[in-house]
Amino acid sequence: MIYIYLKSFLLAAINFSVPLLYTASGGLILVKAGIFNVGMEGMMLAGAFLGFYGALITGNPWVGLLLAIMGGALLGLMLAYAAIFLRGNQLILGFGINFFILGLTGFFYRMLCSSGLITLTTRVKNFSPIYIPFLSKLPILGEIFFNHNFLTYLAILLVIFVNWFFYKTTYGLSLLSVGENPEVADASGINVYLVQYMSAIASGVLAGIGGAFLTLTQVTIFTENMTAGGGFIALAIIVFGKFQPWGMLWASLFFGAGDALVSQLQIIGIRLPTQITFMLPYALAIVALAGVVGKVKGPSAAMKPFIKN
Amino acid sequence: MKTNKVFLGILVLVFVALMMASTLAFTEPLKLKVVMLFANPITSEAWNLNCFKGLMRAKEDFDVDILYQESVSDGEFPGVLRSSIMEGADLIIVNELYRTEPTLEMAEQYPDTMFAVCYGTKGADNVASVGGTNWEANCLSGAVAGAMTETNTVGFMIATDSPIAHNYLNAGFIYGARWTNPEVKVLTTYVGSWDDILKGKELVISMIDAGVDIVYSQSGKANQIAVQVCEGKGVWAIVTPSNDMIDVAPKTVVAVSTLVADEIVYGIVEDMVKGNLQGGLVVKGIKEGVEDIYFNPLLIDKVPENGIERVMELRQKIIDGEVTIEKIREELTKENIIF
Amino acid sequence: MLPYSRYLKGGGRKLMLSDVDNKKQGYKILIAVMPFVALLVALFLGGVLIFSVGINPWKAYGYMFRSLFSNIFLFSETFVHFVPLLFCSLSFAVGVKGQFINIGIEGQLYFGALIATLAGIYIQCLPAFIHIPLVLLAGVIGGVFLFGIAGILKIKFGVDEIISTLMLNYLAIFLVDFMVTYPLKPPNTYIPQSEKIAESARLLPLIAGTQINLGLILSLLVAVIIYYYVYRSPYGYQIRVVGASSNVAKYAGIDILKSTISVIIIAGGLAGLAGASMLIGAQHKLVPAFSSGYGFQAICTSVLAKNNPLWIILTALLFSFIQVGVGSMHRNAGVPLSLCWVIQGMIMVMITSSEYLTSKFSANLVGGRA
Repeated sequence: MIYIYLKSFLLAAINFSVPLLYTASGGLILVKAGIFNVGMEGMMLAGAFLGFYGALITGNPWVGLLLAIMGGALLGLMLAYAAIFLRGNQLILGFGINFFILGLTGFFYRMLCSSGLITLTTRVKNFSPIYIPFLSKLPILGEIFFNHNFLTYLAILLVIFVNWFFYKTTYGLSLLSVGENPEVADASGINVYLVQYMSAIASGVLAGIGGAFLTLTQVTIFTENMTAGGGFIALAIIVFGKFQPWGMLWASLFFGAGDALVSQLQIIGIRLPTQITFMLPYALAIVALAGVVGKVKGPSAAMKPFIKN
Repeated sequence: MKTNKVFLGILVLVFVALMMASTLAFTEPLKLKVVMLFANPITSEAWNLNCFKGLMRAKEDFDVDILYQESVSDGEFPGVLRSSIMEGADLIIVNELYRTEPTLEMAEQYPDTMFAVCYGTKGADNVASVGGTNWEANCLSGAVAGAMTETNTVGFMIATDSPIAHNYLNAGFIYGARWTNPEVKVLTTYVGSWDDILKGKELVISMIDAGVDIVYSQSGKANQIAVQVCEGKGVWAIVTPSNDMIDVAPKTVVAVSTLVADEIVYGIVEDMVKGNLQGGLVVKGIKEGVEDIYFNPLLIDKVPENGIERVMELRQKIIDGEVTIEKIREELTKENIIF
Repeated sequence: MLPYSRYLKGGGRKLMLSDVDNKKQGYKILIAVMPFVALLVALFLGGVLIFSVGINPWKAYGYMFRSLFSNIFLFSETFVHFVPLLFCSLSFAVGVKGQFINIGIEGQLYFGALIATLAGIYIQCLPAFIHIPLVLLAGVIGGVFLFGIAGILKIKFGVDEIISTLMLNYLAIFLVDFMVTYPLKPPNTYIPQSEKIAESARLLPLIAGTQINLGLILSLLVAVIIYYYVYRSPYGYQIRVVGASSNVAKYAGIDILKSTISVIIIAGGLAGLAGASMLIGAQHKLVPAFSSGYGFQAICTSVLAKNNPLWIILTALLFSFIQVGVGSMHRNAGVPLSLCWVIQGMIMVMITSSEYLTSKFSANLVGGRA
């Protein structure tokens, strides 16, 4: 019986962590380049809706994914434009994007419902789990770890890639220097604006994929405000992971596990008021912060618009 | 400093202009004006959606001015209520049972306006609280679940953990399950919100993994997902609130615990139009045709024969008043069953 | 004003000193006008969207303004939002001055309301003029306690306050939900809410039938006090120096710990006051999820006002107007709520983007770089 509980718990934890991981990766790339992306919630929601919509009208989840990527890129571009060129305050821009997308997705969703394109029987085609020749059949580990869809595996590869990119490539190092000290970076010939624009687009794309993961692998429908704060948890994950890619992975798993724990405690039959169970992940996070994480330092020039002389 | 002065100057000008412009008269409608206040988005879980459908049906059938506002938060509610009254509403329908008391307080101050609360807990002279029982249909669903389970474990997924969920929804379901299957074990879980389909999906998966073979889902949008998961895992499902939920997975949904929320709202507007909307508390259940159990014709032969009999027996007892929620709670407490 | 003939001369005329002066006037007026222009642009785009769903934009905006300004009862609905929003924005502003980015204001609001409820219910038999300040003080204590946890985590463990306050938010909100469902709920009732606070602790409306109560006056007073404290008093100066650079503060001999603690007390206390004022002014009992996100809106209002308490009064008023007006537009003209969200988002983005455009424009006017 313990095995069953553990299996459900781990599977749920992984499913909850993956969208957070994608979104947080995007946010990490952008914050290392100097822009604090509070609009990740909106980008994620847009990705969820566009993924759903693409798969709805064509019946092909790849189209949905592509649409989500394009939408996320567009939003990232808009954020970069407003933050860099118009020098709007990044916090307000982020919140503005969130409201905007919340309204826009709700509006289009209702339009689809009233035009009859969405009914109770609507289900968009999801990505199916990938069968890995030997590993998927393993007795215990196979069920838990090797029966996921390709986006989940891609997420791990993404962390490895981001880590390699930041610390082992010149492009990555230039990105880091832009976030720490843009004046020096500019003086050494790096095109600061280009780096920031590209990072913003990457951030939008990744957040979009994170959102599309929800509608293209987890559930088959869309509901308004599906992400419900996931973008803000992604912010917490970036800080929790000490602004490092591997730290971010563990932080995502932590929060995903927290969510999964809430459900699993009820199944096991532990009679706690649900409000208390909901508090647990956050309380644990605070304890972990004090004990394990300690001092976290973000990129020095985050939040300040860079003015080229 | 000059900038600030100019800014403030413009601000004052704009303010005064707006005040003067807004006193221009709007043509006041001569029709009956009904305003409905939702606490959540209209598309939030079938409850709000059906109430909205009822409202729109009333709009078509009767010659009234119907306005609505959704997602009114608890903080804004008294202000919105007051604004609606000031703007000349004749009937204000409040779609959230937790707002009965604020509505009652406001109704005292404005005795000329009629109020209605869906599923309200108390009434007054100018407040009509109309709603369902919150437990009768659950009893019947529980009975169906108890009859059909082969693992003797049934699952119940509720949207939010609240005193009403425990004392009405859950108590009714557990009682019904034990009516047809005294040895049954009921696993009740809470999603935490009305629209969290992701958590809902994981909860149902976990429940089924833990041995549940029939799931009753009363958790808003997550009902749809619950049915899909049940279909994928090959277990039965019972849902609320309307028969078209069967279309989601016709070979999986055994029964629907019907709750005609749109009838409630339509009835309120109809009574208002006909002039016989009375204040006070009205609770409508199986007897009044507001709640019931509906079996999926495709799957009715899968229900054990005496199961249907027992469900109908319970149904009749509820109609006759032999089974009441107080008796249910008493009995469950006597047997030390936590609900 | 220059004589008209000056402008008629052909190209290549020399830039005169009086030219620059007049252009500087223009520059200042432009800065003052820009936020309004941004607002108008956002409203115009919103009007286009409203038109696209088949609703007359004039009618929609007409309802919006009518509901705000046409009579005192409707106007007062704004203050339901204004008072807590003002307190929360002040809290954020003071925090920022002390270099705390406090996004846990929402949680501190809830916790303040919780402690205030306890003071309102369990302390009886006090005259109103003692009980009300006591309840408000309880709210302050609640807010300080919650922010204090984040503060201790930052000082002793170096934990960044962005994440600790975010986590504490959730904790506080769930805690209130738990308290009103179990301990504080009167027995044999089925609605999650606390008992009503004692009559002596309730704030009654000053003008019958409106939401205007002493809380409004209190919040305005507090805003002015905070302004003088932060910008015009030596203590405020210390706080701002510590916030700007702890090294400079050390050299100047300022007690950093004391300053930080003052910031925590003031910012946390303000957020707790927001919660307490909502409790005693509105429902008079604690219910779950009673706040519509004032803690987060506060960030926007404060940043837009450049963290200056006097300007915060205006931005908080603006945001309250927008929220009430948009709700009215939705209710009366039938504008879908999603569109209202879109318009709100556009207003925020436009206004914050307009500041730089202003300076860019005026740089070109005056000639050379601004």
